[in-house]
Amino acid sequence: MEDVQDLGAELRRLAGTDPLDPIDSAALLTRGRRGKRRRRLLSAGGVTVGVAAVAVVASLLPDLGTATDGPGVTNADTPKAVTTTNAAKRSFTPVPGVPQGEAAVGEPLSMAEATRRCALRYPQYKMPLMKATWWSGSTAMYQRQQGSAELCTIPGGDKPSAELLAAVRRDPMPSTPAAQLRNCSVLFWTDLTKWRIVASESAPGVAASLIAVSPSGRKVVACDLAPKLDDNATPLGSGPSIYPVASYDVTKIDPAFNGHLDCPTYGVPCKGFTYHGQGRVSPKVARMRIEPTNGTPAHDVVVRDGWYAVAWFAKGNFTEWGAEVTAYDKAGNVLKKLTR
Amino acid sequence: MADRDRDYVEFVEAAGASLRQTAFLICGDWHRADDVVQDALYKLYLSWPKVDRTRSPVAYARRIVVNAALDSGRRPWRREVPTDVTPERVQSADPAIGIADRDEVLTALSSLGPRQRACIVLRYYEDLSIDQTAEILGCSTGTVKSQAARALETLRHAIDRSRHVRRAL
Repeated sequence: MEDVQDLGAELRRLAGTDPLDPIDSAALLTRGRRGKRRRRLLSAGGVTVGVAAVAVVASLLPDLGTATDGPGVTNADTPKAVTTTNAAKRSFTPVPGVPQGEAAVGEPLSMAEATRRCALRYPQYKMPLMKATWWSGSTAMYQRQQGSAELCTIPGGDKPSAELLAAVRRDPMPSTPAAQLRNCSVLFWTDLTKWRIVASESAPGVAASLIAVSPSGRKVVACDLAPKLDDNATPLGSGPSIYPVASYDVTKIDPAFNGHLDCPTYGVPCKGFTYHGQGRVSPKVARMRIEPTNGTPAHDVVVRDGWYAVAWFAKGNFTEWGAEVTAYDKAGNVLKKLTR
Repeated sequence: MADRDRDYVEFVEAAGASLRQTAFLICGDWHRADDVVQDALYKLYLSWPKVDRTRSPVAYARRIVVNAALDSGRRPWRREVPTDVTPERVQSADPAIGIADRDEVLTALSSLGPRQRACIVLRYYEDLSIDQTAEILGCSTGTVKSQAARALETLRHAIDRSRHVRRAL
């Protein structure tokens, strides 16, 4: 490699090998309009909630805790595991050809199996799935066609009963861990009622974010709940999924947080902003502080053994919005600062 | 179609392919790049009215795409394979995979850390300045300079090594 000019030329050559179809602007527009409608549905009492996904990057991780709103960090009791009852068993029926419970989710699937499971759950969608390696418990996209913006949360082996579905529709954002896991079970078609919530946070009546570990300790579910039951597990945007606990990289001490601070409305000024998501960070992190740059009081998120969940919004009109996210260790030392 | 929607569609048709190319160079996979860009453009639509169009929505969109591309390599995305679990290799007729398998530059790029790769792509493919690169990556200009220097060194060694091996065969 001679010099940087050669490198630039090589990069341009690689970039020119795009084998995919052009991006479908019409489908994107449809999806965007749908997202706008979904945001409006989340509005309540003049307070608007937007879709914000926090993808956390950081090496580190492990312990459960519950974050609470407001400045200062408060500790909350770790929610106890929810035991299975016969009623829970009756709430689900088997899905043909899919094991029940933890075994069915957080595993890679063939295209054929992903397609089969999506057809079982969403028989109304006839489009093929996008070509990729799909995992059970993740939300797949269909190949984009004119006006197509549908999603398939690939189901596990526990189809919710009509009674369970009705109960969740009546109570889409419950406050108890047991009911939250019940509702998440409906979103993922997986009985999560025995899983253990390791972190959760709710913006009452607006959004809830939680993360729970399976009985074996090998799988984790990142679940969002919204005021209206959606037909897939991403009512507030991408992020929710079921995957192996081991997928989090805990080997590096590099707390880099990728977060999205989102403006839930349009135009200037911005009416409130949101910060939302869940994940696992370095075990060195004890607290994350989200500080809006416009002077709105900061929001602290408790992190225990790396687990955290955020569902926070701030009211008000903001002519500009952004935030600094800072990670602190137990002694209050700054580990990492990020600007969003 | 409202003006807002018309502007957005025009932007997507003009810039979508280029954004996907940038995402590909950072994450190394065309399908993942497509996923990243589709999601970024969706988020862009939701934020369209507040995007400062007196500057350039491309810069705004590029920032979302770069961060999403970096993020797609670090946590399970909707269809991403976790790094410590190796699923069965999916047979694919995707020509991009064949290209990646034998392209020494792409292989060398994949040997870089994600942020080094992003640094290289922004500096030498997007031709951004050090300041612009630092702003997108959320780091100092000194970090950009050192990351780029280390990345170039790694690329130089990797490509030279690959050429040496081919000559020896």
